[in-house]
Amino acid sequence: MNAESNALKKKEFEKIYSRFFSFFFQIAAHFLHHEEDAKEVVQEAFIKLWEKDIYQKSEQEIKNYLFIIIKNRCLNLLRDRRKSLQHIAGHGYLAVSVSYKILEATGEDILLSAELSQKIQLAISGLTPQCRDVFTLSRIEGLSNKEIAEKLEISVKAVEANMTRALKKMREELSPYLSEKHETAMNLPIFTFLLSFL
Amino acid sequence: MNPIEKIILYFFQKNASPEELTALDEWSEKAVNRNLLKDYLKLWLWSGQLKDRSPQLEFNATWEEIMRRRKLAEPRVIWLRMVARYAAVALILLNLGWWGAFSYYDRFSAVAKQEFLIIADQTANSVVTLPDQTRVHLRKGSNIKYSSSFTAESREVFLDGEAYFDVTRDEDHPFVVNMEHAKVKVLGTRFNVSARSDSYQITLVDGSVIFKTNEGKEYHLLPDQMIEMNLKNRDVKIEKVNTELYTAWKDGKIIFRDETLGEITKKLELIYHVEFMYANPELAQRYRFSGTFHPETSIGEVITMLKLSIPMEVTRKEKFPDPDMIYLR
Repeated sequence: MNAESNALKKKEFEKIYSRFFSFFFQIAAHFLHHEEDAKEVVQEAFIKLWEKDIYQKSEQEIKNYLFIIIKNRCLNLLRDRRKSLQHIAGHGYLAVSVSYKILEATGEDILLSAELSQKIQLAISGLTPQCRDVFTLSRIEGLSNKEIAEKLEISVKAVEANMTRALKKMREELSPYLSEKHETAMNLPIFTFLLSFL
Repeated sequence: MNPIEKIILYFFQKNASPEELTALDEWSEKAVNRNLLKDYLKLWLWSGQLKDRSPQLEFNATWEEIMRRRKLAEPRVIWLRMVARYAAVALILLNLGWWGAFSYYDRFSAVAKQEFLIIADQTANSVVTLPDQTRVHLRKGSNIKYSSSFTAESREVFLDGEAYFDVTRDEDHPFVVNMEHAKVKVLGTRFNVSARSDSYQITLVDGSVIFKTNEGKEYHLLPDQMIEMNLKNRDVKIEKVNTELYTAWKDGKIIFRDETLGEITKKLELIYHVEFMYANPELAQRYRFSGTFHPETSIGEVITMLKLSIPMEVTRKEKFPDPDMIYLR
């Protein structure tokens, strides 16, 4: 008798899934440097979202919930990885250690950036032509530094220098939109939200 | 050494050298720098293609996983037909031939009991309804056993682990929870039993229960009381408790009600990989706190919650691989 409403619920859940999976996958993959792990972590978070019926809540609540779960799971994974790598104490260990630290300090504010992505577009167009080309090829087209160097017929060093310059300039210019000035205002709703489903 | 912005770029592109990573690690120790690094990260992620791509994992794969787990979460019932009895029947068949066998078989089958073993595996709590409609919440990693004669003669179960019982009232057939060293006898009530290898804890929510050790000592328990038996020295003590603290697990949450900060941090140490240090031990006793939180809440968020009601200063120090140290002042 519930078949119809169940099918509806599933549909609704699928909509949320299609909308946000890739977004969170990319965040997780960035920190984990491992696509399979990232897939698993994000899948796990969506399963929780379904089991706890949170997919019916507001978009902001859904995103916050997914973020909290994904962040915690990623931290656990990184922690385990760091533990298993510590005896080697080499490159992998250091990279994991830095990732862990940044992720730990990363708050939900990383989610709300509709405004930010517009500002980034603007800032990109304000860069010097070579900076702009290099940055666009790298971040938007996803080319490697070497591919960009070949395409633009410049050295890899020059690509790196342009990327660095672009990042630095944009960071300075966008700092009002990047920094967590809304942090306290942001944390409160998340906090009450967390309490609401205890 | 390259400027820090270049190292950050290398780090994002995953080709920083060990020296550069070390430098970055040290540089980001400072809060100001860490914030800067976070800004860069945000810029990096949002200038990439964070938005609007199809899922890297198909919806159907996740949906199937959800369905698979739903099946798993339903308690598994294993039928343990008594192997020994079958073996006996088989032997008799061999020895006596068919004629004798039939008459013996009849007698044996009347005696033979079926046993039911219900296991909650390590992944989830289970809820079981027994033949008398008694509801049992079985904590993950626990199991409960009963036989086919369950309602006919008496209502006896065998528990290993932890379970919360909501027992259907039946004055003619007392409900008995057997453990290795003691048993709990009730008529109809709600209570929690935790049978661990070093201690038993029975917490009574309402009604009344009798706790009886194998040595024959009996204790009556009243609502809101908990009896605890230390299995090493056989000490038994009864105390008044907030039963929610001992039954909250069945709803998957952790509850603190009017507990001292010291009690809370002790529990948090068990849940999270952290250790608490008090600059002034009096702080641990002075403040009390009530609240609930979901187990997925991070330790940082739990502390934020505590800080809302307790005036204290918190500093966290990473001691990896040892537990992180959290100093309270």
